[in-house]
Amino acid sequence: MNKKLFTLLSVLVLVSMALAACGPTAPTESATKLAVGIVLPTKDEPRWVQDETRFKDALTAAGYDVEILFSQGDSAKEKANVESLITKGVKVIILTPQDGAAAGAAAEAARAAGVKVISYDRLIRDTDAVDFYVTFDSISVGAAQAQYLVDNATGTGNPLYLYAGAASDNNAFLFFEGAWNVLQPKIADGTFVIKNSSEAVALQDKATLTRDEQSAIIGQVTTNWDFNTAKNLAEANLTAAAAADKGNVFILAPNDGTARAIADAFGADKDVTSYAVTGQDAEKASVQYIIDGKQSMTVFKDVRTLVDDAIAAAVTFVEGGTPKASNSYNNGKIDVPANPTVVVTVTKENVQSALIDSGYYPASDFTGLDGASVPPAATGSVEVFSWWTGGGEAAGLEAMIGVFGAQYPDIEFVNAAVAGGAGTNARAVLATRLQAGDPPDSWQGHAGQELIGTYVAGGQIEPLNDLYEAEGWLDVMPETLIPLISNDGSIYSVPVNIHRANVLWYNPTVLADNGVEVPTTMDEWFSAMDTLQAAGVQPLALGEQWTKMHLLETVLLGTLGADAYNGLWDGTTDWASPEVKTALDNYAKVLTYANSDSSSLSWQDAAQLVINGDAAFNVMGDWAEGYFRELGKAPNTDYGWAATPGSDGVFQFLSDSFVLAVGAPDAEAATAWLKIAGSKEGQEAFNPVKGSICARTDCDKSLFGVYLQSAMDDWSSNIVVGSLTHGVVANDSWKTEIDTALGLYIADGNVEGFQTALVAACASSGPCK
Amino acid sequence: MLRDKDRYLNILLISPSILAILIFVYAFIGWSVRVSLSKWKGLSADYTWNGIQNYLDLFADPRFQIDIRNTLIFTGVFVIGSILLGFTLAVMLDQGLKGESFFRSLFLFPMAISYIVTGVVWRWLMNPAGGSRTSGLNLLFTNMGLDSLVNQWHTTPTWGIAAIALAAIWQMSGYTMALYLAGLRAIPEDLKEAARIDGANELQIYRHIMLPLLSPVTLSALIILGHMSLKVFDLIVAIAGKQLPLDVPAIYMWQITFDGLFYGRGAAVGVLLLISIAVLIIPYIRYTTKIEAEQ
Amino acid sequence: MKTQLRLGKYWLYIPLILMSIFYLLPMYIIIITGFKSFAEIDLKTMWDLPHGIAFDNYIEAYSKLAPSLWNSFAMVIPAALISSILGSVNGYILAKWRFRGADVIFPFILFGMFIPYQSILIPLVQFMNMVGIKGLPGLAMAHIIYGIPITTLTFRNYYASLPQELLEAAKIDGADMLGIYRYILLPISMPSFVVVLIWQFTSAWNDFLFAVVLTGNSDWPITVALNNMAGSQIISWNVQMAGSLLAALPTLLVYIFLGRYFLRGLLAGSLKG
Repeated sequence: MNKKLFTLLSVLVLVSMALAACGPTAPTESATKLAVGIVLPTKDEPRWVQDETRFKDALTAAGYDVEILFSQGDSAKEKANVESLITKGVKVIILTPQDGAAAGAAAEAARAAGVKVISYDRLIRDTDAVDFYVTFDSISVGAAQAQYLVDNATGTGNPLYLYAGAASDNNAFLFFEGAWNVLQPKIADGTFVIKNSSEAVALQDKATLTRDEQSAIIGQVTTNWDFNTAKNLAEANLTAAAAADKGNVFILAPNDGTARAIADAFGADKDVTSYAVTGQDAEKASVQYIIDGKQSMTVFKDVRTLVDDAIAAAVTFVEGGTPKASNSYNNGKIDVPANPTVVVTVTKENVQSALIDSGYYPASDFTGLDGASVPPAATGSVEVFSWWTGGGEAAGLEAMIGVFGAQYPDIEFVNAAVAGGAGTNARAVLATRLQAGDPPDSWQGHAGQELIGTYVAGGQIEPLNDLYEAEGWLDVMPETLIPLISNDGSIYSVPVNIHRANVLWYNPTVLADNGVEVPTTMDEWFSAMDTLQAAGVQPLALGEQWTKMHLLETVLLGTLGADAYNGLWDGTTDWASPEVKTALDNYAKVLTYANSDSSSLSWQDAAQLVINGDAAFNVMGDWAEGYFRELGKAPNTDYGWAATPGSDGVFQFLSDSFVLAVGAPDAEAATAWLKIAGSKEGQEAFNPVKGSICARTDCDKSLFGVYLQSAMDDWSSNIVVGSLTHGVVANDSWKTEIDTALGLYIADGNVEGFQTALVAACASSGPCK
Repeated sequence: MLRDKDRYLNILLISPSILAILIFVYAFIGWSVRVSLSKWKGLSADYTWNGIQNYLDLFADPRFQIDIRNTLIFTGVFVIGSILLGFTLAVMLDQGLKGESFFRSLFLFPMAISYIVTGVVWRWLMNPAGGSRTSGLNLLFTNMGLDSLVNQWHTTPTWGIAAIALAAIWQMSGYTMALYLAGLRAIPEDLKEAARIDGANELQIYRHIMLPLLSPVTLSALIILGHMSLKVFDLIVAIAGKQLPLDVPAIYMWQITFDGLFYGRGAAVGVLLLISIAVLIIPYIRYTTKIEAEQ
Repeated sequence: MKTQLRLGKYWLYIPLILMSIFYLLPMYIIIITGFKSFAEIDLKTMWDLPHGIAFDNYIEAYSKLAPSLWNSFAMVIPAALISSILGSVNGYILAKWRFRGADVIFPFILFGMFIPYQSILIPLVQFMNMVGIKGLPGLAMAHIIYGIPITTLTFRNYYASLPQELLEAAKIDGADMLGIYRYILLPISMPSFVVVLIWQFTSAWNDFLFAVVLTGNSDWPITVALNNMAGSQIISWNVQMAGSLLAALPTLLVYIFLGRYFLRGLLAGSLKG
């Protein structure tokens, strides 16, 4: 054999064997270099000693060297520690300041040396040299407490007793603010009646309180974080209250210590039939109270998760990236970016999985745990197929998997996500797997006819009515949504998020410069676009073919109105009718205002024309908002939005939802996943990150940005109709035929021919006969 | 001429390949043909006999006619363009210039990058917007004073698909060059020397000696490029999305099968594609191999 | 023997450099976009250089691609080698050792090339499940088999272009079929091996369709990982471009490495012998 050929082949074979031997385990970073330094306040509190171990273990496992120093309550020592780490060449310092303001100098020294500073659990104040803040979000703690009360109250007139922390502690204000945000609407609507604070009663119609107003309330109900103060105050309140103000009471207690004190007082009062009391910190004594039914819940801030998040942020900095921030905290000088660590609500139901199974406390610390009320932990594995692989979608999915993992630690989650433009590739892969008899346990699909026409018709997914009953989802999802995701009375999927399709995005500056108002009807829109065109401005930005179908569905809706639009899809509106002809003529007219290069632009390119001021309007689903934000644009100044002309008061939605496979390899684990996907916790973890709103109407609004908050209001109050382009109203075959008809129409411009083709499509794959 | 041992050895050596092709190609084609004659629409398999209805539907479909037109244009531009460019580059690189390996790698490199990304780059380059939004190649042309080259690229009516073929040429001409280069390197020096002694100039040598000897390589190139152009899919989708003016059978088949769930009609597109190839290519291959055998 | 176009050989650099610009323009866009931040990506400024050289996109892309890199190598190297060797043997037999029916066998094999892969995904996955070859071995097998037509074609046509005298002489010397293959043809097959390996390596490396249906999330090759970097709605083209350059590096290295075997001297000697 030729020698060189032989050499070549042997080299290739050797290379492949070498890769086989070391490929998967090869470390990607040199493990010897000191990259991260950590400075903690004191060795005298067990909390920080535990953190030391956790940090050391996790960073070593991730392949980084770490050095951890203690300040022993001395800010000067703290600065010396930071400086010694800088000389050792660390790239990132994780610092828990002994004194927030005094630590500024240390942080500035690090900044000067090019070292990133992560403020851990306590905020370094009054300096701009802080790169990231790892913390629990105090507002969300208060919100979780209040939400528990709201979730467990029925009817109206429930007596509510408010308690707060110390008026000298800023956190007490934040906890109270979070609770007030959730409770106030329920006080305003009569669900709760405040019994122990005249100041709170006076302010009960104010959604947002000023610091002074909060002060006034907290002044009346402060526990000073003290067990005895809390007990005395609760007893005093009970003495003052009439028997009619007792009965089944609801109590907002700020933390576990005060919760137990207050619970003891209320439990001893003969006029109190039952009480629900909140807490915080998952203290051992309170966990026992929860098991015994004496405290209702506690908010668990898992320090281990905080450590994990700090390490993740540090590693991102070391690798040259910037950690993802969903929030920021003002430290007196700058807004420090942060991605607050998720808090977990612990009740009797999940105390086993959240605190014991996760290894936070040993079961032996408590009595009565093995009672029948605690279900055995579910095991198994669930393979979930989706097309959420990148950006906010993937991050949101990860957050939801995190919630799943906390509740079902013994179920392995297999994330089988495959990307592809709105799921095109993913759907082909899924179809192939289903044909080969190898279904995943659960998969993603657009809620509505895309699922029903495809998988229900194919006998591939199970109805979920029992799950909806058991989880109470019928009460928390909009009534008009349920028929759109049902077939013959059976509900087939669990919607996780909602996007709105009928949004008109505009450039406020371009409109103002040309004296154009935001149009609300088709005719206003046409005259606005005439004005713009006359002024030499591109009126409408449009992209490739699917965005044209997206535009078509909004024009159909805007011209026909919600009822007739819905009729198109159930066969009660005639596609051959003159009304549809008018709508198509409108569509033809809208197209004349669009950019000539539309077929060469993606939706991102088209949306960018509006942001850049090259065009005035763009019709696109509200994922465009996520894109604008990622470009660093500000709502209402760089971009504005309205319902597409003629569709005000109507919410044209699309939704990603999950299904249960017929013959799922592990149906029990799949059901567990669906429970999380439909839960408030799961949806609140997913949606703020993905940039969509919850399918449930009871998600915490404060988690969302200004656009999404407006969408949430509309979602719970508007008429809901479905999107064509995104799979809600027409099955896949029908949609494909409409798409082909649209393509031919765009090529030949013949409206009559288009209408004929649409009539034929409805007859061939839709409900028309 | 064949020795007995060799007579069986050659069949033995080639039979694993034949067996594999039999299953992975012909059995699967058989399945496709069966589906194309069925009523299968929707996710659950349905082999109810439907005769040739799916084929009749296709021929009546105006979209399919656009597909055929686009495929013909694309194939013509892409195959001819790649062969001309590839051959020219190969001849130039065959001159023993310094830096040959640099140029060779450079011309091959486009092939290494996935269509999904090069498609997007070409979409940007071929942006047809005018006025203040002029960008991409049009902007470059305008700045260089070559205004006559500014055009609508793939948004040109009817011929837009030729612009996509340009991107495909960019990606594949390097490989065609490599095919020709391998062929050129295999031609014995003596043949050229002999011609030179006879007084032929270099151009004549390439025209009369090299080109005929390279005809089997040209056949390979034709077939390889031809099969790519008939199956082109990712590149078009990446440049222009799925839109009718640039539709081709492979996109139609994908959309109608996996987006629309018309399995029967999708399979019919595939089968028609194969039949047209068989009609066009097989006689040509038989003819060439026969000529070779006679020589 | 270094001859040719003595006069004005160097003017060839002019067309070569012009062509290089044509090939480099899109490359330029890919490279600079890979260094841009998300907000800098804009059609209007596509030719502009990035505001700074930051490797963030590359680091992000690398961290997402690295785990799949090994899967790709493990699948591509055997797929490219085995189907090239099969193609070489098939091509040799079909070009030089015709047997009765060989004229039918060649188009029979060749036809496999034209099969539109999208239309046989379902029977392919069903068959692989049936015989129990899953994951990377199944993917490699699919690439080997669907590579046979093109490798056979390339070698057959290359061997067919070789003068018959080359073989006759060896036969007279008493060499048998395998002997001729090993001692006469293999040594001068390097440029064709290069061409075929480049093809197989590239198409298996860049394949997405087979990979995504035949492998699961534990053994996805790099193209699936690259594809999964994009969200279904918002795509960060800067990271995507950086990632595709990283993903193309192994292929480029293969081109450069194999390209050496194009060198003329390698076969000049053997042909004369």
